[in-house]
Amino acid sequence: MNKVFKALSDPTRRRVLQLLRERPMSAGELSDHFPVSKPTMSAHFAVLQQAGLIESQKSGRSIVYRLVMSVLEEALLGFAQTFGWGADSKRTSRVADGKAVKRPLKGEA
Amino acid sequence: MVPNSIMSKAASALTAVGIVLVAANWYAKPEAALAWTAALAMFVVMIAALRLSPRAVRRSAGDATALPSPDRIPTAVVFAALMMGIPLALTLARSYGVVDDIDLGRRSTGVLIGAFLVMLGNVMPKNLPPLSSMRCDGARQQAFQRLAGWTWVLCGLASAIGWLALSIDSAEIATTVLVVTAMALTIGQLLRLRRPRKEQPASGLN
Repeated sequence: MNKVFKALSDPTRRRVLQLLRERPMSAGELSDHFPVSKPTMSAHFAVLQQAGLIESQKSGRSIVYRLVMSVLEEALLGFAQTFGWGADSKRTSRVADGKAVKRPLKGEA
Repeated sequence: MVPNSIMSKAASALTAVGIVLVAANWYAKPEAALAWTAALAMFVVMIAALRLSPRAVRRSAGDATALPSPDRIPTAVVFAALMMGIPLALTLARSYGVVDDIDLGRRSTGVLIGAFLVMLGNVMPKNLPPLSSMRCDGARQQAFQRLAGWTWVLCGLASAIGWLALSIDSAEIATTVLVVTAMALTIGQLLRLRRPRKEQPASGLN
């Protein structure tokens, strides 16, 4: 359960879960919604997967993520969203809202 | 989440306690031998499910959709043993004059069934089939399982509260209405899921 709370404490990860509520999405599609680098997004996906909230499946050359949240976990997500768990920095909240400017990595155009 | 080993031990212990309760009830009320035989048969089936399920799961290891995961069987047996064990214990207590309340057994079983529905609905959205084996698109399957999960969790909660708070007659009617409504909702959504969709999503996942 600790892993679930840790996963839900980050606004970016909560936003990922909200997006996956609509339909399964590829890693690229999900990353397009956030102004952060792909390695950062991969780290977020890994945390969510370790918590058992999402699962990945290979579809051709891309990885498709989908929601595997129980009703209790979804209720917790709702609480986290309502009470803003872990929304400690302005930067984190802006990243989750898609307002932050993407910082390019070394070698990234 | 309770570890699987604890659930297995709890399931074995509860079935053993159940058999002892059946024997004690049989001794106290030998005229109801048919009912005790049926209860004993149920506990034997539970023990068989506990013993045989790991082997069956191992045999179908290649096919992920063939059987439920082995950790669900001890949980199901725990609930089944409790559902039978509590009324058996209360019947025994009543026959020895320890408990006077006739409705206690029905109430406790009703609450337990409600708790079981909550547990069942809670894991429903987690048990998605592999994307490649889906007959409809992933989004619709996911939406259906989420709705079904929430429906059964709320139905279970409401029915458990009903058994605790209402009179026996009202609780029976309310629970029946709730379960029938939940079933109708789930079947309706399932039929909608089977209907072909006019426009496919642009994601191209399936």
